[in-house]
Amino acid sequence: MGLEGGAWSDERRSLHRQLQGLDPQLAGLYRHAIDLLSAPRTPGEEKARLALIGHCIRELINSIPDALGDVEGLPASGRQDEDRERDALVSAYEGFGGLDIDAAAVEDRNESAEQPRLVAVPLTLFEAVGRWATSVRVGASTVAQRDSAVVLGRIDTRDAALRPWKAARDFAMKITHFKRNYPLGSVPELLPSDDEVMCHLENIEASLRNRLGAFFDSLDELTDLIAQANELVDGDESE
Amino acid sequence: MSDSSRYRIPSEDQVHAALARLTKLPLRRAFYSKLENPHWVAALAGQGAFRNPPETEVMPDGLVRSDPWPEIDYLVRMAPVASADVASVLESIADSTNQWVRRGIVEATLLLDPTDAARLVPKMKEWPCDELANFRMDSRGVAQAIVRLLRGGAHREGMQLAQAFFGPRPATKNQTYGLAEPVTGVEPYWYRDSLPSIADALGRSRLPVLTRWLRAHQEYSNPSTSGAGYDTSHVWRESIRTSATHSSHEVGDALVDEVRRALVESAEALPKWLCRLLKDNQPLLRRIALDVLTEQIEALQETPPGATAESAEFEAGLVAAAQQVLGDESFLDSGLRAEYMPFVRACSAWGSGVDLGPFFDEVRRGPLWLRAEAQGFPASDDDTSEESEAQQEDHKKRWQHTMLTLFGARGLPEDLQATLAALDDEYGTIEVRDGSFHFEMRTGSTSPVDLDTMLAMSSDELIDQLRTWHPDRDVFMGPTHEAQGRVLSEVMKRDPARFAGRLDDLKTLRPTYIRAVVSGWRAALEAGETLSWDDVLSLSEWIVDLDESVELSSEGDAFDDDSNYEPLRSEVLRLLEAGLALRVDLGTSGVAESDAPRVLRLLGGYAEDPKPTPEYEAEYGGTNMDSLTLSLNTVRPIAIRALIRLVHRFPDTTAATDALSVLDRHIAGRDQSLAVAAAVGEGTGRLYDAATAWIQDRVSVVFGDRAPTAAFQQVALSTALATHRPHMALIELLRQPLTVTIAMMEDPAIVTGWRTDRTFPQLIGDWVVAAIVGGQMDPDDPLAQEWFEAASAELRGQVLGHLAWQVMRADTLSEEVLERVAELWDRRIAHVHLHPEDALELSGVYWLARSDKFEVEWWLPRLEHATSVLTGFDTHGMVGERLASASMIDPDTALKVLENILGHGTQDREFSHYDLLEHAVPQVLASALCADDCELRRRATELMNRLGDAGYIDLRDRVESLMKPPGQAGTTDL
Repeated sequence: MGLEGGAWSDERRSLHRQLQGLDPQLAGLYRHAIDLLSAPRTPGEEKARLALIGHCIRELINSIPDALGDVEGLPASGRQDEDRERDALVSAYEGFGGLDIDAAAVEDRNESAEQPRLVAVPLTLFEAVGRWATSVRVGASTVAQRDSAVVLGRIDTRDAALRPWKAARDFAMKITHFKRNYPLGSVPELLPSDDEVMCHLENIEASLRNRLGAFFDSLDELTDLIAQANELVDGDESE
Repeated sequence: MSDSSRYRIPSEDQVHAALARLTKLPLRRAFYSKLENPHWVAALAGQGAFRNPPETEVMPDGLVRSDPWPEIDYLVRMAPVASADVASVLESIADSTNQWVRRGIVEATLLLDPTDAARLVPKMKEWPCDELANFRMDSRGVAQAIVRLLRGGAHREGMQLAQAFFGPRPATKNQTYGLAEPVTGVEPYWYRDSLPSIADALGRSRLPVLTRWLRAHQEYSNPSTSGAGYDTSHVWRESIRTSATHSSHEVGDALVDEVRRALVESAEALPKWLCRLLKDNQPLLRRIALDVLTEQIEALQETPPGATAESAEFEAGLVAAAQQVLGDESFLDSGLRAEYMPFVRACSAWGSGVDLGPFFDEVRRGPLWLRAEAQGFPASDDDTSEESEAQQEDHKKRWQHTMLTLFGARGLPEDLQATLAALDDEYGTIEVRDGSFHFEMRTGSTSPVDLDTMLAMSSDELIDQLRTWHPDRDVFMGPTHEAQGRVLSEVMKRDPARFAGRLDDLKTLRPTYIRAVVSGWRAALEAGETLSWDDVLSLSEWIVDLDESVELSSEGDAFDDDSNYEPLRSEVLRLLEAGLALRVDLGTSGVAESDAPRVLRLLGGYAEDPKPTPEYEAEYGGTNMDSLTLSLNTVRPIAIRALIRLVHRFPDTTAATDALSVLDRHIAGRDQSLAVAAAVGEGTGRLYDAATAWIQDRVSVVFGDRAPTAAFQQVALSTALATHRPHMALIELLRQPLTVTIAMMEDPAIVTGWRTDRTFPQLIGDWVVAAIVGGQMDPDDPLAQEWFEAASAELRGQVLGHLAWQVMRADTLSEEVLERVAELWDRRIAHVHLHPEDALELSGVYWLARSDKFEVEWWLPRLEHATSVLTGFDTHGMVGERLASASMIDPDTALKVLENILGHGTQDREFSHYDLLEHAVPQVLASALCADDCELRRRATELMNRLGDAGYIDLRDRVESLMKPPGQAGTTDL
């Protein structure tokens, strides 16, 4: 496809060009997301279409911090660590040997409503649980830091400007794994609309344009938005 | 500002869309400065937009950093129309240390509904302890906020904030001298400015709160070892009724004024308050109450007593209070006298039943500190008991004299009237002005005779006055000989022949007066008056023979009278030097050639003076005072300087030859004084003029011809360079010393004779480049080559920059000189082309751009080259306008200059880049964007965006306005 028609616009072509300069693979993910959004919905394939769009967006936002590579202290993606610890936990649990959990119960004379029932588990299994929980927590922090590196150009996970980006990331994850979020039997009307997808995508694009584009273009975009925010209710002409 | 119902409530998508674009500080600034919709406060707060203002930090280099937080401006603007929402946001961040946030919160408290503003107080009242965070806080705003809370239904919170910011706290800094100064939450000036409005708003709490604060101020300003009643307020607050113009206790003064005002305005409660405060254990509060009581009594003197039932009750209250004071001996303490005596006088004048008997009894008994029950007069160990008793009696009488005089004879009982008359006879009448004594501080002693009187005296009368007058030892800070000498000096300046023919009489006077005469002669000489050099030299010859070691019986303190002949001998030397500095052939009254031998003999004596001794130079020279400065104030170097002047004034005379012989004893290290070496260096030009062969023969020993040169040689050479304009004859004379010094000039131990803004190595460079551009020295001269090779790039840059600065400063310069300047710079630029590591050499090129003496086509490429090779090039704010003009001729190179300088960001050099950003950038960008060259326009756009990104958000508008043809409306599409 040639970046024409459908959802393509001058701004998007410009952003595509900037991504192309950064990493052609990223530009490809972006182009596919827009092309898929531009293509007409085929009845019965709505979920597949959304899942592909979600995959493109997710891969784009996960990969772009490394492509930019201009932020000191950027942590590496921690996804593999999390997967490894999860697998280790499963392995440790299975290694427990299939003993009946009741058989491992610790006799507790003080059992009460506040005090949950205690069981005995091997130390290796307990440590595996701890390592996995830590990897999940560190992973979430790593993701936030990498997001801030893209959006802000620095590591600062508290900035409110990250919220739309995170919301878009969460949304992309949701539509990527439609089996879990939208059972196969779901009717198309319950799936996210293209407007909803577009809304999240536009926020991602805005942050990327701020990061990659010209300052005064970003200022122009913001000026339009301020004008909308300051619009008066219908009929109020007073200053 | 219109109300919030006019605006639409934003959707979450709208807020997200905005936040997604607020990723940079300049964009947040633009957004929050223009957002007018109050509904966005809650919407943005819900998305966490106001959660994290950056904290104030102290950076590793010690600087304080508190980044702007543009959100606060929007919140302040919305405070009047979205009070509850804004208060909720501010409540959550009121403990931030961000300076801008605190400033904004103070502004907002003036606009919020008072009940909403009250929500901020729990955190705001913790602010006063954090000075760094409060740096931008408006103290007046804080006071207004307190008043608003107090008056706006949030009295409790207003009181809390008032206590936090206006309640004195213990001093935080150790006081080097004087009393500790308690601190408050606002600066003392603003404390004084704002306290009245706070006090007025305190309502019924006014007096209790103000007295509590004043009590705290007294407690915290006193030494920790002092008791509860310790008071020194009479020192910094001489009178309660009038505040000092410049008080060192501004907070204390403000509190005194306000307690006093509150007391006066307490209406019918006044007598009750007075009685309470007059018994207070804080003397300052007693003084205030006493002063107010006095003022009330004074006011009642004009009205008939007990005119109404209310006034009768009021007056009875005042009488009771007055009687309470008169019966309390503690009011006799000298610290309360400024209020006590006016009070007693007012009671006496009132005649409304106040019994002054207790006061008279106290006077009869004498001062508190002499009474048996008090500590007693501290007798000296040497005093006998009889002497001690006599002293005590004397002190008692003097105290009674003071008290009775201040009261006035009228109204005294007969016995005390008789006592006052007897004391007047014994001690003389005491002058009383404004009901008090006046102790005048003086900056110097006074003369017993003023100038007009002395001018009117005959010579006999004057000599008699000078011989017979003696200071009165018993008069504190009375007239002195020194002060009378200053008047005499002025008389001699106006009439230098005043003692013509009376030299013998003159010699009988105190040395202080003879010195004054000589000093007056010098002043007369410098003012163009004619001197009788025969008299001058005769007196001088007598003076130089005086034995300096003799101790004279001086009168007065250390600086009141000369205690030996040293100051007099130095004054004569200064007169001789001044006489040699003037040329008789130009019609002045300088030393004539016929007097040169007598002057030489005098100077020869001075040249052997031991001062400055090596010990003296070690203590006062070195890093303390440079050698040339020291030479101006010590005997031997002054004599050497005068001898050189004599050689110069009377060349080829016997006196000159003899003077050179004397000089020979003080050069080549024979005289180790660096001050003498500086005097010789300063005289190099005169010696070259008048005794060329003599100095040529001695140049190697005076200035050094082999490394390392000695300190005295370095001082002589550096002083010669610093005190003369560059001249080829002197360069030739000093070529060998210069050559050896160049080889060692970067040695930090090298000694400079005169510390000016130019260092020794810079001075050598200045002379070399001046000779080159003056056309006297070839650029390939070995001396020039030696200097450029030995000097560091930084030193070369300093010298070339200085040359360019001189070019800029010159009103006119010949084409030839400008060409040579240009050639020299081009040689150095060519050198840097080959040696980029020497780029610092070009650091001063901006002066050439600034000078307006070279064409744009010449200086612009050179400036561009320098900025391209020297990272962090600093134009020191000198070229902004020139660069803007130059861009209209060569936009490409002008843009390159900006790219080179600003391409690495502007944050760290914001101040030094201001000139470029303000004066150059808009025009240079406009020139580039108007060019036909696409690439040039692209570069200009890129730089403009980069600068916008750095915070210059109005840059595009400024550029566009410059791109419009004159008179054309609309914008040019960038």
